[in-house]
Amino acid sequence: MKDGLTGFHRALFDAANDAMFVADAESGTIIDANRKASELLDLPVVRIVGMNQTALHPSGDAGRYARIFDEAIRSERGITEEVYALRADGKRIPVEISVSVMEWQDRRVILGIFRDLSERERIQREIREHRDRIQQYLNVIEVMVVVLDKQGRITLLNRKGHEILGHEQGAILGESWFDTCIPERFRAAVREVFSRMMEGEEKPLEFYENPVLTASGEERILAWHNVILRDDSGRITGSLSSGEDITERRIAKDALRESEARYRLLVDKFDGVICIFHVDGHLLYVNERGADKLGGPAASFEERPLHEVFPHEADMMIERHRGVIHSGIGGDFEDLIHLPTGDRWFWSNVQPVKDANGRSFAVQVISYDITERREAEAARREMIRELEAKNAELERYTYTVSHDLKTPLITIQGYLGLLERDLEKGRVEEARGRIGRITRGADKMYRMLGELLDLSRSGRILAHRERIPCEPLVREAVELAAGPIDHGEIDIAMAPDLPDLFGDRTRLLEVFHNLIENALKFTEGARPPRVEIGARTDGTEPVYFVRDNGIGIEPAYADKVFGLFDKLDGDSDGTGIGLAVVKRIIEVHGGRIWVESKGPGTGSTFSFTLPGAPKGMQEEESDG
Amino acid sequence: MAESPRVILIAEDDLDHAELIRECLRESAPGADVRHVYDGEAALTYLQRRGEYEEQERSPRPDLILLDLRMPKIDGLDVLKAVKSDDDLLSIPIVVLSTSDAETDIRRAFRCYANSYLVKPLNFANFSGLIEDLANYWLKRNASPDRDLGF
Repeated sequence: MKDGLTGFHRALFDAANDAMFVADAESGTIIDANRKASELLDLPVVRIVGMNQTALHPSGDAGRYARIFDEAIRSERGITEEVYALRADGKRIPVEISVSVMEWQDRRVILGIFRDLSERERIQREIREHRDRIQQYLNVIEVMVVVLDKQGRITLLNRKGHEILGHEQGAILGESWFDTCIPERFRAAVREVFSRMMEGEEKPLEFYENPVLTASGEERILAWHNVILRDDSGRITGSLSSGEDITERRIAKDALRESEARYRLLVDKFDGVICIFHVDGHLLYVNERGADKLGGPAASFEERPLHEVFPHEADMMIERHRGVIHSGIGGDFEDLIHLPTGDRWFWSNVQPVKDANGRSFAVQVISYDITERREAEAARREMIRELEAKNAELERYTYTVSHDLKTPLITIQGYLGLLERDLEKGRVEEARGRIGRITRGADKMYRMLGELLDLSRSGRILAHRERIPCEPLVREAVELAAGPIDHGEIDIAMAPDLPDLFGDRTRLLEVFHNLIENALKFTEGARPPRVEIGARTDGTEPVYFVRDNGIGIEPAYADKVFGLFDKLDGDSDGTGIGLAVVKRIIEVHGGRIWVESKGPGTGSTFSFTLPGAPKGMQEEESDG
Repeated sequence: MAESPRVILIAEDDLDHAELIRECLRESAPGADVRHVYDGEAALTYLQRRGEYEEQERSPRPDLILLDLRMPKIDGLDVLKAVKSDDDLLSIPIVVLSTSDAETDIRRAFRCYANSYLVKPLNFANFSGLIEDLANYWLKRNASPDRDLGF
């Protein structure tokens, strides 16, 4: 190394962080190299000295280096270029070279400074890899990612973005986002907002929904999330946006809202009561019809405890609702509910309501007011009962008319036949007897027909029901019945404070008349004869009675006395219709009648009940 | 030994009808001992020889009972049931003689073992003819374990 650097220069030369070569400008032979050069080429300095400088580079590029050096020599100024150096093992190492020509020890030399670029390349590669990976990530995620530069040109658009917009990969990179992807009617406004954002005049909305225009011209709705991009110095360079395609969800949501609105309308306007009760005993919801029944706006009942809304039925309802919730099985019920608007009957179907986890937390109750229906059913049952009773009565009546009325006819015919024989044989005395029997038969027939007519009248619908003070009515009946009898002989007692009657006055007068007449008839033998008229209270209803001390009745025959044409005493001159008429009148009034006697000779007590005035019919009402 | 007269018991609540039947029997069954009771209760008292009928003389065993259905206290059907469930009495023929031609009445009577059911005719000639026929049949033709027929 006779030509090499020495002393202080040498130390300085070797301390340099770049590889340095000194070559003769004429021959290109390397005169000296520093420590870093030795490391770069993996060769000792003694081996480097003497090499031609062209050997420092891959042979294929030799022409290029020669040109760089020629240029450097000719222009006499430094040149910097990126080239490759060739290491001892043949590996190409990226380097930046600075070549300069200088005079040194009376000759022209070339100083070549090589900076190793391997590290920089590695970093660049890593950056590239990062970028690729990010691109990959961007491509994998199911949201659109779009980066715009300050002018609104697309600098990045991921796979999903391409997919949503319907463009080929990379087809719209560099294009204006607004012209390409924003529906025309929004274009100006969106561009305006964007440019203000880019000028820093407006902060981006973090989340918002905006439509995009696809390649096919269709619009899709995206939920956007934006950030503004800045460089190291804080200057705005563009925007990064991620957008989720919510078109389907929005359609579904709109449909759901619409269907919910429709359902809600259906429930609100439903012509029955719909309630939802929470298991904790609160009313969650009541529809309009239900609120009407409760007598207030629906909102005033919601969230209120059942004990406030249904003070009488809350306990029963809560217990029922819990049963339904625990068993998961609904059911149908009929209940009388006390409402501010009056007591009403409801048919209800109760079903458990489940949350998203399938857990029952409430019951839904659909109810119909069946009060009118129940009343109609009761009226129908009552009508059927009445018709059946009337039908049975009619059958008995027909039987009676067709058979019992035959009895006097047979008598009349029979004795007419005997009379004929008597006359043929001239038996005048006997003939007279026959005529007597015939007359009696005809009289009996006449009486029976009259009373049958009376009976048929008593079975008619009561024309006029009213409240009747009992005492004057009984007094009148006594006058009618006891008229021909001397009052001195018979003791007729009437209890004070007899409760008022409710019914058809004419018919009820007939009842007392018949009962008193009947009593008088059978007390004829008693000493002294006594008839007592009174009333007692049996439970809630008054029981009226007519008691006598007459011949009495065997308990076994007590029911027979009310039968049509049934008489217990063949000697009595009645037809057996009177008590049948009484029974009929009492039953038409909805009451009951019966007779009690301890047996022959102990007297009889005829008792009957009459229902009071029905609700809302306190004074007078026409029933027909 | 002279044959005792045939006994006919009429159970009939209508006195005129009872008298009418008696008149007819006077011709068709001359010499018959005709007895009349007013209702079903009296009929059973007679047949069971209780109360006023305790003495046999007052209640000879009937050879035939003519029974009305609709009677006070105990009606004809109950009399039928009582007689036909009594071993001593069940052989006595019972002819129901009623104004009713209702099917239910006829059915019920036979269900209670009535021996015959006759509807009282309205016309007197038919009425007396019927009484004659039944007297002939039940007193002369019909065999009875109670007594030998005279021929």
